[in-house]
Amino acid sequence: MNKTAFTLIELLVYTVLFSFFSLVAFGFCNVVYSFLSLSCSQSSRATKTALALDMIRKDLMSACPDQALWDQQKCIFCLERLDTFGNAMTTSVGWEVITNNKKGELRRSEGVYSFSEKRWVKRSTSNFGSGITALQVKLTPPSNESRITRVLVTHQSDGSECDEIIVLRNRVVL
Amino acid sequence: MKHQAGAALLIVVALMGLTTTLIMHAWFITSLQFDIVQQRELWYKKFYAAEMVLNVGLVQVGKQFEQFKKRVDASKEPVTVDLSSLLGQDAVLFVTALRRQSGNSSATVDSLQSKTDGLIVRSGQLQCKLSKVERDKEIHFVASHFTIGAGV
Repeated sequence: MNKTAFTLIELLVYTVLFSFFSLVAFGFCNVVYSFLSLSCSQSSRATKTALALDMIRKDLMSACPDQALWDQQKCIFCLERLDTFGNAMTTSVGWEVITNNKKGELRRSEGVYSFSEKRWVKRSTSNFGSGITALQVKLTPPSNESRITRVLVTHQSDGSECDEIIVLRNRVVL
Repeated sequence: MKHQAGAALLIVVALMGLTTTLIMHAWFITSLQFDIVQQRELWYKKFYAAEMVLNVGLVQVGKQFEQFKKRVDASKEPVTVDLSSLLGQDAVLFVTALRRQSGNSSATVDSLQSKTDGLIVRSGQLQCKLSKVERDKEIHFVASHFTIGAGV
């Protein structure tokens, strides 16, 4: 009798055990992979939202404090900046959420906006993938002044709503 | 027995390979995320530090606006203001003259700032225009054109 060979029962037991352990191992790997991909996508979405808010924050910091140069409903405002050569520049910037996208995409428009006619005369746009699904801007000027000092930004992402107050850097110093 | 040992070894190698791939993938993604988070934190630290120097500097320059204007007009290089003694840390401010005003918007430029000469005050990569304006028979100093540079 050949002692090195396997019996049918041994083979069957081996196959059953191998299948069981393979299932457990692959099930475990699948769970780990699902968890990792979910946490990665959540983290990625949170990072995208944070980066998008950074860009909005930067724009709002340089916004013009004159209330006449704001279209609060459309989140369009006048931006005053200096270029690399030290020349003063004035442009209009608008932020909007593209509503037909469930993932939430932001559109930044820059160009010439007529605040009296409430329409863009000339603009260039760029889209950013972000988790932001709603964006609202509320101006908070002092009661007796027409100059805005701060802006309340309300944004919605992942079903939660967040408020942030951004202080305008263009202001009366002394 | 040799076959069993070989099969077990293969399973172990395959599982180790799979686990290593998963861990490396997760490490790659999380390191990218952490890198962004770390860079953002660093950026904001530098930003607020530069802004503090700029805010203090704006008040200092505003108090001696005419003297600074004369010094800037007389010099081709930016005038350096050392605020280290005031802030207790390395803090340098640069003051230059505003070259010209070129608006490209159809909107009216703020009437407060349209006819004033200003100085450009820079701290790190942050800079803004400081103007002297008269409103209700009072002299005010207005900071406008706040600009954040690429690096901060």
